[in-house]
This record gives sequence, C-alpha cells and structure tokens, in this order.
Amino acid sequence: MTTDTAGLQATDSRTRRRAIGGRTLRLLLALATAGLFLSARAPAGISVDLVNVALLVVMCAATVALVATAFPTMVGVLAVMAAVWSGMGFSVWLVLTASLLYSMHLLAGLCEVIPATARIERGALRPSLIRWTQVQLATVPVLALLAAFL
Amino acid sequence: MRSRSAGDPLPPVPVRTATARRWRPTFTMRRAATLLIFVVALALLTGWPHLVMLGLPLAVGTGLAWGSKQGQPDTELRVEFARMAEQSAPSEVAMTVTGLDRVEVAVLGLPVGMVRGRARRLVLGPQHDAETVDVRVDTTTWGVHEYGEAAMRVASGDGLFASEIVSTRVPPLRVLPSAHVLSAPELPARSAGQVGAHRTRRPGDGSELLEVREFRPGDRIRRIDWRVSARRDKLHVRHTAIDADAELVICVDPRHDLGPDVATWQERAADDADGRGRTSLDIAVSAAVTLATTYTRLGDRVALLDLAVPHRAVRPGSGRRQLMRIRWQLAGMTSGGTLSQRSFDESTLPRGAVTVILSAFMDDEITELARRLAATRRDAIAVDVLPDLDLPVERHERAAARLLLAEHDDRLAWLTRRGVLVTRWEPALFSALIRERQRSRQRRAA
Repeated sequence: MTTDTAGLQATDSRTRRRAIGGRTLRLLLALATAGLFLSARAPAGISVDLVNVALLVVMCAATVALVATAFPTMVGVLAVMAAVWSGMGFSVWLVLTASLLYSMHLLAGLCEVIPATARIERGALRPSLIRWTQVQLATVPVLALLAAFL
Repeated sequence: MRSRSAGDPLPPVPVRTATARRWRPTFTMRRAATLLIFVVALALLTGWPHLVMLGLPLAVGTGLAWGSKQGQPDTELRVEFARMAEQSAPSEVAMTVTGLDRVEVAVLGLPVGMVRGRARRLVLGPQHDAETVDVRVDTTTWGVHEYGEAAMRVASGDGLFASEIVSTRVPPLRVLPSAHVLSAPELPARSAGQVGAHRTRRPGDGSELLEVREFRPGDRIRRIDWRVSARRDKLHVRHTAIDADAELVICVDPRHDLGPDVATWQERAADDADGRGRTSLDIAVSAAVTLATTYTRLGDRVALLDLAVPHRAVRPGSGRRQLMRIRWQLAGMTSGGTLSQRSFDESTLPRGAVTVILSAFMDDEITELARRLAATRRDAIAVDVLPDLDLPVERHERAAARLLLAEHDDRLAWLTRRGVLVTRWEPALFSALIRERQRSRQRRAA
C-alpha cells in the first residue's frame, strides 16, 4: 500500500532509440573550456604545475556546474584576455582559440537548455552540429589564410 | 487514450495540456553579445585588429543561429493518461508534442518513472510537426500513486532562444487491488429480501417451485399450470417460493498497517512501503476485494465500510459496477485515523446482512465494536488480517512482541465467547466457516 511513486516503474517508447546523455554534452563543454584556455595561453608557453592544473579543473567544473548563469560568459572574457596577455598574433593558436571560443559558447548554450540527466536523441543535436560545421568551414580557412599571410 | 483498464467508470480520455508561446532571452544570447562587444572593444583599445578575428566564428555562428529562428513558438504538450489501472497490469501515459516546426530542441520532463526523486527527461530532435512519447507504467502495488508533473521546454538557435518551462500536473493513478474469486458457499438469504439469487421457503412470486395443487377461488389465472391441468382434467396452479438476496457488509479497519517484521511497527506506513512485505492493510484490502468479487458474482448485494473514514463507504449493491466502486474505494485506503463511533442501525447495516470485520485487532476499540455488532443479533465475522510475524531477535523486543500477540489472541478469544465468528484470513478457512455457519442454521431451523 502506498500513496507515492514507489509502485510505479516506467519505460518510454523511445528507450531503444540511439541517444546520448546530458552528461556527455557537459563533458564536451568541459573539454572545450580546457582547450580554450590552453590555446589562449599557448603563445606565452604553458607551464604544467599543480596550481595551473587545479585552476583549469576548477574553471572547467564551474563552467559545467554554472552553465545557466553568466559564468561561461566570464570564462569567455577571461580566455580573450589570456590571449591578449600571451601576446597572441596571427597564428595557428588564434585560429584554434577562435574555433574553441565558438565551440564552448555553442556547447554552453545547449547545456543551458538541456538538463544533465536528460537523454538526448541524436536528431536533437543535428541542427547545431550542422551549424557548427558550416561555421568551421566558413571561418577556419579564412583565419588560416590570414594567419599564413599576415 | 492509448490504453484503458477494463470497466473504467470514469469519463474517457483525461487530458492535460501546457503550451509554450514565447521565446525568452537566454544567457547564451547575452554571452554572444557580450563576447562580441568585448572582443571588438579590446581590439580597438589595444590596437590589435587581429583580436577581432577571435570573435569571427562566434559572430558567424550567432548570425546563422539567429537566422534559423522562425517566429514565436506555439508548441503544445498534451498528456493523456489513465486515472485507473489494474494491479500488476501496465498502464500508459501518452505525451504528444505538437507545433514542433518552429523549434530545434524539445526537452520533455516525463511525469512518471520518478527514479530516486528525479524525473526522467528526454530531449527530442523534432523531425515532424508532432512527436509522441508513450510511457508505459508498470504498477506493482495497489493504492494511489502520484504521476508527478509533465514538463516541457523548447529551444531554437543553439539555445539563443528558449521558452519558459511549461508544466502540467497529472492527477494521480489509482491502482485497483487485484481481484480473486473464492470458492465460497452461499450466504444466508435476507428475510426481507424480495429479489435475488437465493432460494427461500416463503411462498410468493419467485422462480423456485414449491408445489402444484388444485385451483382454489382467489388463485391467479396466470398461475394455472395448463399442462398438468390437461393431464388431470382439473385446474391446477403452480405455487412458487420468493427469491431473496443476500447481503454482505465488508468493514475494513485501516488504522494499523502492520508488516511481518515487528521491528517496523513503529514506522509510519508510507516509510519504505516496498520493503515491508505484505502488511495487514494489504491483506485486509486483498480479503475485501476477494469477498466483494466472489459475492457480487453470485448476485449478492455487497457494501463496504471504512471504519476510520466514515465518508468512505459504498452502499449495498450488486453487479460489476458495484464491484468497481468497491475496488475504487479500497484503492484509496490509507492507514491511520481513529475508529469512528458509528451506530449499527437499519440504514447502515441492514438486518440479515452478514458483516465481515477485517482488522488486525490490535486494540480494544475494534473488539468492542465487533461485540456491539454481535449484540444486535446480526451475523458478524471477525477476520484477523495480521500477517505471519517475524519476531525480533533482541530479547526484550521479543518479549514485548509476544505480549502484544498474547493480547491480540485474548481479544479474539473474548470475541468468540460473545458469539462472534473469528477466523484468520485464509480463503479456505473463511469458506469452511461460512459452510459451518450454514449447517448450524439449517440444524436450528430443522
């Protein structure tokens, strides 16, 4: 006898469809954030010490945890400032940083809407994936050419 | 409605809807604007024009995402659900989302499957204007189960635009206790009954033939048996006995919900409901539904009384709808409350009705009630629904439990001495008791 949900076991009709978890999306966001900071700092050289690694981990974890706040914006601003401090010129690092800045922004946008516990059908990410590919195809060659000639 | 339980007396197709109609700005939109402005401003301040290039993919991507938006959303979440289900039979909730042509992502919060207090969420990639998710709900225990809320949020343009979370509360699912049929003997017919499936020895309009005798003045013409009259060359009439019904009143005492483990008796009923085994209330409800099923099938009138909640009562009646009413009320029973002081008069308890009291008999109030009932010279049967117990291991707890059980046994013995039939809930024992009662009545009548 109960008056709660204990007696209910539910399965939905879409369990067999191919899907990814909301946590996978957050893992990608964490990786993009880490990559963004590393590429922004790369021109000045990256020192692998415990403080830097800890800072990077905390930054990634906070981005993922506070995705529906202004924190990812702050992370983007910090990354751009890091690029300035490291004296980034027209180089392959600029191409990579620009690409990762957009990737981080896109993933944070999706994570803001999609909860971590969600099961994401693959079709749900298709428009974003297509747009990301279009943006990369349109901008990376331009940036790469500029980096090569300037 | 995708599936419905057999004999559902409720209005068909209960539906709840929620609609998302407006896009709201998200942090993603603010982030895109902030980063682009910041990059341009920084490039101007530092005099490094190449810094603008950092924001190039972001600007192009935001532009493309903005361009993909098609007006405001008009997305409706429609939830169709069963309000009633049979125990151990699957039920279904159908969630249909329409108006998906203007959204890229639809996040659904499923109303059931509350796994460790967290609702499952499903993200749809709309390929059609409407998508349907069928959620199969397996019900293992009877009772009233909360579905929870069905929620939806839609988004477009890589999360630049998102609606607010719209939700709708789905009414609880009532899982009816499963019905079993007992091979029980017939109940004694009520003396006041005029219709029904039971035979009597009282002459009157009925189906049971009493005798065929010669016609006398005053006999009705339609009672003439023409075949016998033709054979004997004299008018003969058929005399029949009145058909009578039997009535069963099932009284359930839901105050104590005691599991087999005596150590858990201090816990509230709602705590760990699944892990306590079959409790006294489970047995009482199972017994009540078994008796109701058995005797409504035999054409008898059955009533239900909740001894703790006076308004939870089903007036005497027969047939499938009556059985459904009783099961509906039983499904809503919860433990607790106090024994209501009711008087047993003709309106609540018709004379000639057999009354079954289903209780764990853990206090003197219920014993007194049963005694008062027996004192009105009605057939009263006290059915003990206490499950087979696991006594505690600790010595002092064991002693306390034994004391409680001794008191419980004393109460039942006291009732027996006052003319109340007492039995444990075992279908075979109950049938034997009714049979024995019938025999003793017949012996007395003879």
